[in-house]
Amino acid sequence: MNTKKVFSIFLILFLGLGMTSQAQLKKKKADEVKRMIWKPRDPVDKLKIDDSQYKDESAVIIYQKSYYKYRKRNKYVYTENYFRRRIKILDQASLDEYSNFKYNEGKYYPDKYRAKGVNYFNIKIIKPNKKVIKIDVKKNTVKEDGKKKLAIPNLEIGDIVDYYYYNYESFKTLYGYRFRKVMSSLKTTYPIIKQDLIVDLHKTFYFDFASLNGAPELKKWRSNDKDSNVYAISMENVKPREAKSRVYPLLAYPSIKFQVYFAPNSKLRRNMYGFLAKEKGVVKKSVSKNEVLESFKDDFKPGKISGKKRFHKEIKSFKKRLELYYERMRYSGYTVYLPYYVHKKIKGFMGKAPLTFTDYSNDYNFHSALNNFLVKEKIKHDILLVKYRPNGGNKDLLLKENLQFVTKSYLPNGEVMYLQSLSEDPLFALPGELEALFEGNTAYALKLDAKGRVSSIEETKLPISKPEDNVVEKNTNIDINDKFDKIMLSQTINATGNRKADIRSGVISLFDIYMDDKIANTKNKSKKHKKIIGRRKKSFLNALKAAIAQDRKDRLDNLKDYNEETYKVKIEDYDFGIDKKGRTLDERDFQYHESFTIKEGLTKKAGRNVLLLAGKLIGRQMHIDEKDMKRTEDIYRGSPTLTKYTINITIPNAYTVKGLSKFNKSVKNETGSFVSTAKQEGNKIIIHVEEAYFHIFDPNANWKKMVEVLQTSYQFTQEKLLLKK
Amino acid sequence: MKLIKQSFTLLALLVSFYMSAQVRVDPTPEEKTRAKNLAKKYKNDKDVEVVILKANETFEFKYDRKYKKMIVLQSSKEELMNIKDRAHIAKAVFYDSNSTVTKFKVLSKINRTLHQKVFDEYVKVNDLFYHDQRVKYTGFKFPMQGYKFKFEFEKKITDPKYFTSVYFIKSQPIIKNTIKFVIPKTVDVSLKEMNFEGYDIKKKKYYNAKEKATVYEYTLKNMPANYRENHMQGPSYIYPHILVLTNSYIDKKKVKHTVFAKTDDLYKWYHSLIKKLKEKPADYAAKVKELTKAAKTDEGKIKNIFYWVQDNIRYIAFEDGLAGFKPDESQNVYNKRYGDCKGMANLLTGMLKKAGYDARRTWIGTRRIAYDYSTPSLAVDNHMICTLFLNGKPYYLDATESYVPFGEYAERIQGRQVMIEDGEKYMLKKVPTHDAKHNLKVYTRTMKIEGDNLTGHVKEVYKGQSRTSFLQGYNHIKSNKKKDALKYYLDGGDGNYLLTNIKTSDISNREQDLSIDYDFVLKNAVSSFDDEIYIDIDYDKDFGGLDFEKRKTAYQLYSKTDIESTTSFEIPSGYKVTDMPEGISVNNEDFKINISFKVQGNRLIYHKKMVFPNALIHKKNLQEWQKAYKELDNLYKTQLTLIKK
Repeated sequence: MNTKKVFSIFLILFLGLGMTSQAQLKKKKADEVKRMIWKPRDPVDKLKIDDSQYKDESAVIIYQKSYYKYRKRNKYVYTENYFRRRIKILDQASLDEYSNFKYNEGKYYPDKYRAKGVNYFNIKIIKPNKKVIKIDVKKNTVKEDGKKKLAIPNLEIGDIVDYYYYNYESFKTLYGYRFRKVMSSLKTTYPIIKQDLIVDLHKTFYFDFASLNGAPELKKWRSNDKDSNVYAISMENVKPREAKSRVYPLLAYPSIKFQVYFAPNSKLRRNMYGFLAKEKGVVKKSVSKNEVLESFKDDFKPGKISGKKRFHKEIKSFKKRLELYYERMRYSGYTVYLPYYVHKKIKGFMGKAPLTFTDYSNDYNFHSALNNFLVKEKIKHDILLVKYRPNGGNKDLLLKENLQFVTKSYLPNGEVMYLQSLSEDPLFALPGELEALFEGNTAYALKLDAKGRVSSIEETKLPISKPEDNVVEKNTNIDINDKFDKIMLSQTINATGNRKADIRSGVISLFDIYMDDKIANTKNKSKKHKKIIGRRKKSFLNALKAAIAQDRKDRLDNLKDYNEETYKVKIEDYDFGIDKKGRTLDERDFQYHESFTIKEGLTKKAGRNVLLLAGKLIGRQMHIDEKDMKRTEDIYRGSPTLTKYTINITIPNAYTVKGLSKFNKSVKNETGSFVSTAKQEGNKIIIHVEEAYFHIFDPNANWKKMVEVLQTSYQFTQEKLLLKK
Repeated sequence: MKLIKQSFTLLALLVSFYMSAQVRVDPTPEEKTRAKNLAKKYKNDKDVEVVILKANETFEFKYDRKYKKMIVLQSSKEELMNIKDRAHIAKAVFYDSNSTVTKFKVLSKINRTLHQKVFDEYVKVNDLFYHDQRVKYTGFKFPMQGYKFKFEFEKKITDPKYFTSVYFIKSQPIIKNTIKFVIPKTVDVSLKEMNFEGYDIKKKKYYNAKEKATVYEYTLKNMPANYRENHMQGPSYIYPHILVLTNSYIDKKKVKHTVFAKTDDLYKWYHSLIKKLKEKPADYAAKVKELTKAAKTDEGKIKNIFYWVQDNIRYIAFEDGLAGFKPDESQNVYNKRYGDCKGMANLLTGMLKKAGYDARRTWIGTRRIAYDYSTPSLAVDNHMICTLFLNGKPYYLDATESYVPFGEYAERIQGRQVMIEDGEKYMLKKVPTHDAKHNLKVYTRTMKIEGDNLTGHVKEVYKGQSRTSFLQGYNHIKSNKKKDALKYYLDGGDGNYLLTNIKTSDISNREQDLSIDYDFVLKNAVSSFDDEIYIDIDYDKDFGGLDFEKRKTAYQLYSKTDIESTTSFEIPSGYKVTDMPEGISVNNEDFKINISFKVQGNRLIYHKKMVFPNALIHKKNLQEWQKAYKELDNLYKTQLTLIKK
C-alpha cells in the first residue's frame, strides 16, 4: 500500500467520522429541543376540552406558547425562540388548513460573518383515542427550491395537531446588541383554551415590556437557572375576534410589546438605542419624561452638520429661505437619486449612485441640519419626539425605535411650522405638512437653547387638522348624447393636505418628477448626470422617450380600470393630465383632470324614458351591514376629511327631469356630515355634495352617529333621476 | 397523471424577472419602420408587445449511447422584435425528470451573448403538492420600438414516450417559423396534425442523405400568439399542434423496441406499473368490514366505501417522475389518508375488492383533452378513477370528486372514453352522460312593492352538479363562518339585498336535492316619480355578463346548465303595467333561452328558462350567442313601468 492510498483511506475515514458525528450532534440537538418543548410529562396533556362548547367552531387551540430566550456566551449573544400550538381539528376547513405545512429546517447564516442560525420543526397527532402518532417529518417532506413542504399523513377531523417551530440565532458582539422588538395584539381567530408567552433572559440583559389594553400583567416565574429571570403572561379561554376596519389593533385589543438589549458596560448601555432600565435584571415597563431627555440630550447637535454660513442670505423672507432649504435637503436626500432609478427602469441596472455629503434621508441628519439652519437664523424651535398613532402616545412609550422626529419652528410672524422628516414622503415632502398618523398624538418636545443644544423637555400634543385642510374636490361635467349610448364625463380632481398621497397614487409617476426637476434636460446636466447617461446619449434619450410613452400608456390603462371600479361602469377613450404636482410651496395642491366616455352602467331603459343613476357619480361609498352595526371597537381614522363634489349634468334635448328632490340630503352630527343639494338651471342639473368626517378618533358610543352619515352617503349613491321624454 | 406541458399558460406565472447589463444595439431606421408596421398589424391585440420575426425549431430523433435508447434533441432559435414603445418579456423552457435543458441563452442582434441571470426552479402549480416540472427562464427588456434580441435553447428528451406533442404557437405572434422533425430510418414515428385548419401551415417531406433521415418540414406564417380567455377548453382543442406517436425504434444492435405502436402497448406499459404495486389490503380490511356491516344491500355497501374515500382521503397530488403514472399502493393511501387521483382510485378499487366486488383501476382523459384511446400516447389521459361492475353494469367512481353521489358523474368525465384494466387485456368503454335537466336549478320568487323596496320570498332548488358544486364549496368553509358564507352565496355581498329566515335542506346529504328558502327585502329597487313606478324585475341576471364581442374561442361552462326561474310579481292596486321588456326566444344547439312576461290578474309572471345542453358554446355559435346576448342585455337593462290607472 503506497502512502497516497493510506492517506486516502485515512481521509475517507476522517471525513466519514466527521460527518457521522455532525449528524449525531444535529440529532442530539434536535432531540434536546423536542424534549424541551414536548416535555416527557407534558402538563398540556392535562388540559381538558369541553367539546360541546366548541361544536360551532372550526378548530380550538388547546394550548399555545410563544417562548423567547436571550443569553450570552463569550463574545456571542444568542436567542432561542419557539412557537408551539396544540389545536383540535373540528371541521373540513381546519383539516385543509392543517394538512400541509411549509417550514425551514437546518442551519442558515443570516449575516455571513457575525451570525448563524438553526431551525427545527416537529409535529405529532393525537387521535381521539389518545394515541399519539409522531409524524416522521423527514419522510413526509418534499423539497422545492430550498423550501420544505410536509403533507401530514393520517390526519382526520377530531384529531389534535401539536407542532412547533424552533429557531436559534447567535450573533458576535463586542458592543452590545439590541434584539428585534416584538409588538403584537393577542387577538385570535380560533378560540384558545390556554396560552403562555414566556421571556427567559440572562440577568445581565435589559428588558422593556408592556401589557396594553387589558392584556394580563407580566409575572415572574421561578427559574431553574440562577443567572436568569423568567417572565410570563398567561391567558385562558380567549375568545376569537374578527378583524374590523378603522381599528388600530395595538390600541383596541389586548396587546404586548417588548424588547431585550445586551449592553456589556455602562458606556455601551448609554449608547444603546433604547430606553434601558438603570439596573440589569429588572423589567422596565414605562419611560419617564426625564429618561427621554436623558436619552436625547446629546443628539441633534447643530455643530455636527456643516453648511453655508447663511443660506441664501440675499432672500429677505425667512419663510422663503426655510422653504428653499427644506427643498434643497429633499433634493439631496432623495430627488438626487431619481435619475438612477429612471436609469434602472430604462437600462435595467442602476449605476453607481452618488454619495451626497450628508445623507438627509437619515432622520437624525435631517433634523440636525434643520437645527443648524434654524440656530443660524436665530429662529426658536423644538424637536418633537412622536409615535405614529397606531403605536400609542407618550403614556405607553417604551421602545425608542417607535419614535419619529418632527421639528417645530416658531416663525417671526408668529406662525408655527412643523417640519417632518423627509422619509415620511420622500419626493413630495413640504414644510408645514404633517403625516396623518401624527395628528393629535401626544409627544415630547425637546426644548433647544440658543445654540441648538437640547436643554429641557416638555410634554406636548401635535395639532389635529380640520376637514377643510384635507379636501378632495371633484368638479364633474356630464354630457349625454340623444341616443343615450355615449355619456361623456370630464372632471378635475384637486386634493390638499393629507388627501394628496391617495389621490396622486397611480396618477403621477417618477417620470413626471424627473422631467419636472429638469434632470432630463441635457443642456443643464451636471458631470455626474452625464456619467449616468453614459456615452450613448442619443440611445439613452431615445429609450427615455420610449419609457415615458409606455409609462403613460400603462397609467392610462390603470386609471381606466380604477374609474370602472369606482363608478361600476364600462368606459372607453380615457385620458388624463396633471395640472398641479403638489411639490412646491407655490403649488401645494395636487390636481389633475380626466375625461372618458361611459359606455354602460349609468343608465337604465324605462319605456321611452331613461333612468340616470346619478347617485353613482360620487363613486362607491361604504355600505354598513347588520354585522358592522354591532361594532364594539372605537373608531380610528387618519386625518379629518372633507370631500366636495359638484356635478353638472347637461340634459339631452327633448327630455325633462324628475326625481331631483331625492338628491337633497342632509345629516350632520358630531362625527361628520353629508349634505347634498340638487337643482335645475336651464338645461343643466347641478348637484352639490359635501361629505365630511370631523375626527381622527371617535368612541364606540358615536358609532351609530357615524353610521348615520355613512348610510346617508351610501343611500345617495342609490338615487336615480328620471329623464322623461 | 403526468403534468401536461402547458408552457404557454404557465409562462404567465413568471411575473418577476431579473435584468442585468445588456449588450445593446439600437434599431436601424428600417427596423423602426418594420416595428411600426407590425404595431399597426397587431393594433387590436393589446397584449402583443414583441413579435417573433423568424424562428427555427428542430426535433431530431437520435440514438444515445449513454441512455442506450432513442432520445429526442430539440433545438430552437428565435429572432424577436419589440413593436411597442418598450417591452418586458420572459422566455422560458420547461423540463422534467425525463428531459434536460442543455443550452439557454439570449443574444443581441449582433449575436453577442447577454450574460444575465437565468432562473431554474420548480413550476408552481396550485393543484399539485409536488411534481417534477421545472422551468428555466430569464427576463429581458426591449428599451425602444424596433429593438431586437435573439433567444436560443436546446433540450434533450431522454425517452421518446414522453415526447408527445409539439405546439405551433408561442407567447408572441410569429411571422415565420420553420419546424423540422428529423426521423432516421430506424425510428417509426407518426406525426398527427391537429387543428391546422385556418392557419397558414405548409408541409414538406424530404430525405436528408447526410443524416440518413426523413425530414418533415412545416413552415408556419403569421401565427397568432397564444391567447388566454376565461372558460377556455384545453389547449389540445384550440391550438395547432402535432401529436408525435413514436411507434418503435431499432437500436444499434438491430433490436427493435416498441414504444407505443398501438393502444395495447400503452396499456401494457400502464399494466407493468400496476404489476409492480405491492398491495396489502389487510391494512384496511377492518375498515371495509366496519363500513359494510350495517348496509343491507350491495349498493349500500358500495356507497359507504365510496363516500368514505371521498370524505376521508385528502387529495394531495405528487407527480414526480414515474410517480406521475404509477399509483401509490392502496394501503399507503389508506394509512396516510391522502393521495392523488391514482392513489385514491387504487384505494377505492382495493377496498371494493376487499368487500367482494368487481372493481378495476381505470385510466381516463378528462374533457380537457381532445383525444381518446384510438391514439396510443401518454397525452390521451390525465386522470384515474375506479370502475365497478355491479350486476353486469359498470359504474365509474371518481373519489377525487367529493359529494358526487353514487351513479352520478362529474361533468369533466362524462362521455369520456375510459381504459379499464382487465388483467393482461383492457376494456374500452365510455362514461355515461347526464343531460342538462339533471343539473336543474329552479328559482321561484314571489315579489311585491313596499315603499322604495321590493320584498318577497324565494325558493331555490339545486339538482345534480349544481347541488354537488354547492356542497363542495359549502362544506370546506369554517363551521363558524358557514352562516355568513351561505348568506354571501345568496346575496353576493349586495348591501341592498337583505335576507332573513334562511332555511336549507340537509346540506351534508349528497344524494337529495338541495333546497334553500328565504325572505328578502331588496332596497332601493323601486324608483317612483309621481304616478310612475319603475322596477327591475330580474335580480339574478343569469349570464348577463357573457359578452363575446372579442371572444376567439369556444366557451366552456362548468357543467351542463338548466335554469328555470319564475317570478310572480304583485302589481300594486291602482297601477297597471304599461311597459315591460320584450320576451326572448332563442333556440340554438348550444343554448336555448325562453323568457316571457305575462299579466295574470293582479300579478305579472316573469318566466325565464335557460339551457346549455352541451356545457359548451362552440366557436361556430359565438356569433349566435352574441345576438342572443344583446337581446338579453337589453332585457336586463329595461325597467318594468307601472303607471297609476
